[in-house]
Amino acid sequence: MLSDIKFGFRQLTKNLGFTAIAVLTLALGIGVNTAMFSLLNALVFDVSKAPDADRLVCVLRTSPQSQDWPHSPANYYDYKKQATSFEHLAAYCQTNNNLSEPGQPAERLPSMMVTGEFFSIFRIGPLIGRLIGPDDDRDGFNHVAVLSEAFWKSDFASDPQVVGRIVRLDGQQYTIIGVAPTSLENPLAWGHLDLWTPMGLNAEGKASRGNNWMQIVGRLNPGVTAVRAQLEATAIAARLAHDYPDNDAGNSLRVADWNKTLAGDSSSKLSWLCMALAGFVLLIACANLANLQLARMSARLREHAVRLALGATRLQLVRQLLVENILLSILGGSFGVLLATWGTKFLGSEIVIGNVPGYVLPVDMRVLVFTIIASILTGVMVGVVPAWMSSGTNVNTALKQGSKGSDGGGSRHRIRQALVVGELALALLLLAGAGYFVRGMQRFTAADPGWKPDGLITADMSLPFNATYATDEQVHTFLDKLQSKMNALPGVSQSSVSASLPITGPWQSAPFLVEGRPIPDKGKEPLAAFDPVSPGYFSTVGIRLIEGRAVLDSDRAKTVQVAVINEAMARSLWPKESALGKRFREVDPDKMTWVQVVGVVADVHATLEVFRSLDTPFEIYRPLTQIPSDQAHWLSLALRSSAPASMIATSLRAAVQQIDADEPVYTILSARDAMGNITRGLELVSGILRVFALIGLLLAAVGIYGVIANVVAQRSTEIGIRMALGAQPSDVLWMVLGQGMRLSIIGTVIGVAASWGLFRLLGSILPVIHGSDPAAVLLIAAVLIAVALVACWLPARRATLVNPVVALRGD
Amino acid sequence: MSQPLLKLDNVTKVFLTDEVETHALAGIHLEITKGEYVAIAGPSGCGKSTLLSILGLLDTPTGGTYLLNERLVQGLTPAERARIRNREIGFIFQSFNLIGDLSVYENVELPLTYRGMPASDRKARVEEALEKVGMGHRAKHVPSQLSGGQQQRVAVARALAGHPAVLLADEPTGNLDSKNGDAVMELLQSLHRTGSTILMVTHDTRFARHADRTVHLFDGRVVEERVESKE
Repeated sequence: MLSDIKFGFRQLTKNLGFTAIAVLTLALGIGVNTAMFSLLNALVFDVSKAPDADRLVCVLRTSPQSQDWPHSPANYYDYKKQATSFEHLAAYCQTNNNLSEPGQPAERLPSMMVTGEFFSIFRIGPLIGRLIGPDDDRDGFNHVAVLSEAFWKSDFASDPQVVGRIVRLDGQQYTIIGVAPTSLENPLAWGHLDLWTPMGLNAEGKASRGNNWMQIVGRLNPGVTAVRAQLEATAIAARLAHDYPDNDAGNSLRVADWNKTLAGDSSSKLSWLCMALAGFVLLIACANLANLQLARMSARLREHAVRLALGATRLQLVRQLLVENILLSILGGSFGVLLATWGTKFLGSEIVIGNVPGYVLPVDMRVLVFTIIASILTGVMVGVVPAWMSSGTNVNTALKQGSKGSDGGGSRHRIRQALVVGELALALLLLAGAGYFVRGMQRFTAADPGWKPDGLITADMSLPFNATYATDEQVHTFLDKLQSKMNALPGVSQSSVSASLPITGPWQSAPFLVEGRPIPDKGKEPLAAFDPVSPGYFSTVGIRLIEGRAVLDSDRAKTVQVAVINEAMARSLWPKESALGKRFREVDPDKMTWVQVVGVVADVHATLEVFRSLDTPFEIYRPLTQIPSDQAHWLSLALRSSAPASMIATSLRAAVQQIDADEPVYTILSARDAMGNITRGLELVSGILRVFALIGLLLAAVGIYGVIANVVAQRSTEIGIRMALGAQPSDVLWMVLGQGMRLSIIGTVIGVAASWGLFRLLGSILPVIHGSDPAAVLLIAAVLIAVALVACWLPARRATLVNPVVALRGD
Repeated sequence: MSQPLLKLDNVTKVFLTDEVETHALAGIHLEITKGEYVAIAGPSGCGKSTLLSILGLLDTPTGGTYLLNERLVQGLTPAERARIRNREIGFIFQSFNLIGDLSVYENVELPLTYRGMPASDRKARVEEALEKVGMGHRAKHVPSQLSGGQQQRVAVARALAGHPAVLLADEPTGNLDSKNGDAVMELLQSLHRTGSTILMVTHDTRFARHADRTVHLFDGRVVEERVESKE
């Protein structure tokens, strides 16, 4: 083996030109795959840093309308009491806290409320101090906070004495008890968190069954499988549905793998897709190198014949040739890691999580092991066919005829042609995949969303749950003042406040009943998205009013409960009549009041729909002043203005400060930028696929060039004969081009057929981005054939310059 | 006396390699009339093949003039030279130079396809040529299924199919055993008897005697011309 390695190195240094081309090709192929594996590793495999993360599960509420709903506190505590599958079970809820220190501008902190066992589940200790425990999760004892490592570093300058310090959150004093390490953050699932606080629910809060806002996470007992936990959860859900039919009939529970849920379905599938397409790039690179090796083997036939004549077995010869290839691919892999390190830095900088750009994609030990395995496999893939064919050399003939001996030229040539056809088919798939994304994104961006993002500035606020905003009147007063201040801002023509905007999609969905219609079975009621909005919302956001009226100032808590619904709902529920005046109510027993339809507006499409479909096409807009004020704490602001967001930001912040100095306004962006942050991931995927397609196209072009050039070299005598018989240069040119074109067309046809499968797969991952238009595929096929034509033209041109005298003499 | 079909006047050919001048042909004068059978003989390296390449328009002379059918062929474009090769010259090579991937029929048909001849005409010509060389029954075979002698007969048929003005044969028996060599020489003689003009390069004086006239080359010059006696 050692001698094989030494000889392999000698071969590589002897043919520096070949080695350089091969290493570059492999570096591209392996580098792209290493970078994509880093992405997959960070976004899918290595999401949770907790020990024994395979025992972590999340528990979701399901109904016929949804598979991933949150839970009410009462249901959570009942489930926790009855479940035996868990070592630890906890609930959490993402929220915001306003940090407002006297004399300093208020700052919004993304945070999480957790129950007492939350941190025990992850088995990760504090960086300093301690983490939240069961004793903190009690009403009256919950004014403590754990800081995230990043927040501790940025806002507390990594002060080791931070434990015990008091901070003012939502106008109340909290004691910092510790700092949690970065490994507890899970930014993919939760975005960036600055702190954790205990829920500390009182008895009334724990007994609430109608309001679902908690997420559940748990660590299974050793030996308990997710299947067993699921069986238990199903049984508990059935009991809850039986005991509390008003709230839980038709609901069940779903136990899901924590890591998979964290990774997110779309991002996980997209990461796998990128990995698979990177595999295509590597396959094209392998086919290219295998082709090069097959050509090289022809020149080394005599060497192989001598080795065989001297007693080498076929296996020994194959091993020697494979060693050469593996050395080559390890060298290529090493450069590939360098490329991947650069690539992952770039990719990481392009990832946006929670409006914050940048995510570290480490090239860690797992990635390096992947690269080593990929390199060795690549070496074997590239080398095995040429090695096997070369080892079957007819010793007698090869020794007699030297390097021009019997080398199985026919089968070798057929293999080379098959490799090129495969390369071209894969290149077309890459081009088609990139085209699908580009066209799909173009269509998505160009489609009328039903609202007008241009000239719209958006921002977020969250009102704290404290004495300042404890009553409906306090909240409504704030909202009135806020809208009045916003309307008065210079450069702002209209403004509105709502629970959400058509960027991230509706605030929440809930089942409802229509007056005068039969009551469906529990859990089978129609579902609608509910959006609390202020007066002026539709005109500010640019949603067209079709019938009736919009939300007015006069819609107050004590006036008739009204709603504006979208066109899809109106047409579906009242197809042959006006929806105006019709009434509905929510199924939630706490919200039994009938609500009257006073207006119908156009349907809107949220930007986030690019990743996932909404639960329902029905949308109900309610006046903010007619919903319980505890549901009007998370606010989205919309301001129509021709001024840039940065200019409006200052005056908006100042206006809010005048109402409540403790209230920060954050994520002040133009609607286009906010939309861009959501689609940026897809733009990144689109960019990645375009790079893959370009590399694939280049490699395939080089591949077909190599094969046709080799064909010309091998057929120079034949070309000489043809020219001696009177073939014109154009006859020779077309003959060679025809051969290249035949391969190109076969590869293209296979690629086009396979692209339909790819489109179906892409369509299942991102239904909104449907880009499979035949014209684009035909255009891509034409581009591929044109590139192949250029690649074939060079050797074909050379063929026309064959000197028949020399060619015939050479024979 | 009729006009010569081929006429070389003081033709020279000089190869330049690494600043060394090699005079392959040094002032060749040669005339070949229609229907003549001429052998060009001489030792290896005397310039026989170079002369044949020039006569077949595969190569160009460095100096002198070459008239083919009274037409000066120097200065023609590659496309015009290819056209003349295709229509007026039939090549028979030492190593047959059949295309392995083509059938016997397709090999013979090949020069006609370059002429743009309709398929029905080609068929008639190919069948006629193959019958003439006695290979009509092997039309569907590929060269590797034939013996060396049979391959050379196919090569002769390919040369004949275009009804060329002259057949240029470069050591046509060089790769054949004596029995097959004799058969090919018989074939050339029979073609000559039916009016074909043949110019054959050979180093074998035994075969040179089949020709009407033998031109001996040495160091790129014609050193002797001898009319063969036919007894």
